[in-house]
Amino acid sequence: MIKDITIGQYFIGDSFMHKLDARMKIILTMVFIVAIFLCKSFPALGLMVLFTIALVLISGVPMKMVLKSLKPIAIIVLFTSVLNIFYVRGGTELVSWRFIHIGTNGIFTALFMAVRIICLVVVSSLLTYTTTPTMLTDALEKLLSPLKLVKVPVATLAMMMTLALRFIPTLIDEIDRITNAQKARGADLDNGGFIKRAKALIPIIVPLFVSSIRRAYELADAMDCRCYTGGNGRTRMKQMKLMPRDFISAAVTALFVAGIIVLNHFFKAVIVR
Amino acid sequence: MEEKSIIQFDNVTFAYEANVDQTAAVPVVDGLSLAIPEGQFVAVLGRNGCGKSTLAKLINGILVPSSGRVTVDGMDTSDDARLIDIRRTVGMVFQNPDNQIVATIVEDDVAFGPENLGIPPEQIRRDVDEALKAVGMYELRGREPHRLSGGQKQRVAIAGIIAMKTKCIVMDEPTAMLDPRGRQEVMDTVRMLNKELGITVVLITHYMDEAVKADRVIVMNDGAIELDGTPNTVFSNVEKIKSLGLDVPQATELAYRLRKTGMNLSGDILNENECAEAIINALEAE
Repeated sequence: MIKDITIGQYFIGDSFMHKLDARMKIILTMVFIVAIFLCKSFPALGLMVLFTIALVLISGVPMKMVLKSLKPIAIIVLFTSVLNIFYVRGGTELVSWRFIHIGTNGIFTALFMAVRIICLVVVSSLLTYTTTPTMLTDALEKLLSPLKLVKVPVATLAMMMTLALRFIPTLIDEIDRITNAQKARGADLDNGGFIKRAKALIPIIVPLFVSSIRRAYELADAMDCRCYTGGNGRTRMKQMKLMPRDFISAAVTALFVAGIIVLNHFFKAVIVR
Repeated sequence: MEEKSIIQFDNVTFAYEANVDQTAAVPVVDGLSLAIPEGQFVAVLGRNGCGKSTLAKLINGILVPSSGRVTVDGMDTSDDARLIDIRRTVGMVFQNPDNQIVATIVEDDVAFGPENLGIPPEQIRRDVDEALKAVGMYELRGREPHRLSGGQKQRVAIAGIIAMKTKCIVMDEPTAMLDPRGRQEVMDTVRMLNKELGITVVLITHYMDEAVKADRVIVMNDGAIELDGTPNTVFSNVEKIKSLGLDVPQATELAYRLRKTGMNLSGDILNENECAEAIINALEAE
């Protein structure tokens, strides 16, 4: 039931990837995404696919769960592939019928695009599968801390994110309660057309807002009582420390990027972009 | 009072700002004076709207008196410069556990207060573990708060205050939203705080059986103190308490009715055992 929802999509585990420092994971994910778009030759693409599969295996996240994260983007992948097949000209002409021209370039581009998007989604969902939202928030706070120099309230923003995450289950509970209360008063939420159902949501949304504002006041008092004065002078109980495994992962990723560049250099690029 | 009082109210009046409809502001707390010595366990009783929640908020400067003075360990709550020091002395636990937990993991929430105070990380770790052990939540330190029961959440909130090492805890109906089991858990924790850690406790409550366990009971009505004394003396004024719209503990009620019928029960009766004993003695005497 509602008590069982997990915030975010964290997959509880104890793998090498789970133990990595969240800051390192964020940076390496970004490096990987850049590497994805460096791939221009078939051997490089092959290396990237192998590396992605290796990452999934290391993470210990079941393949089924990873594939599930691909479902929402299936249409995008299909759409871009089809467009690329028809729009990218050049290479050996395979089909030429009236206005339809399909060349090898088009097919290669479509293939590259599809594989790139899939790898991108798989790797970035591995990040959220192996990192709790709290760790992600903390890591972002640390990574963005240079922005403090230009007066961006990074600590406050991170606090807001933490609070938002914290209150998601509470508010879901609340919506449930209000919905039941309105149903008990005879509200009809399930029938009628789109407009009618949208209107029926008003008696749920208004009380939700009222109670959220009341909660916010109480929370503010509670935070005041616990001496919260904004980010200044705060310390953190959990210190993030880079371990040897973080440097090993960084080195492996660097090798991977180097491999891509080398393979691109020695083999013919099959796509332009 | 001879002992050093940690919380002191001197002729305090507080009124919320006048309503939009121009009705004059009615004072919620009216000319109240009170001294709470260090280490005491005080229960505050009263009907809804009698000013007991306002009293709680006045103690650590969430509200500041309209007139009069509230001092905590010698610090005036209207002095903004001392506010942090006041809140390091008096912690507060609210009614709804959901609205006072800030983090997505139990131990992170307990660490929130000490983190705000800028305490070094290793020290926070120690304080947090100690606080969690004190309230019996150490095993659940890695859990997400929304998966805990109400009683457990409230104990996490209490641990969050203990970790700040406050000398005093004010609790505003901490058991009002809990089931009987949760209430028992929280009350056991509160008593442990007072007896073992020597923390001054101000417990605002609706429940007479909770008030009976305090060292001192204060009954409020219309923003003023009506009765103030040990549970024994306060609850012996059965008629007065009833006239204020409150109940007395069940055992006291039974003794009161028996006495009314002419039975000769001796002593102050607050719990079942005392009541049973008094009845046995009375029957044997006949």
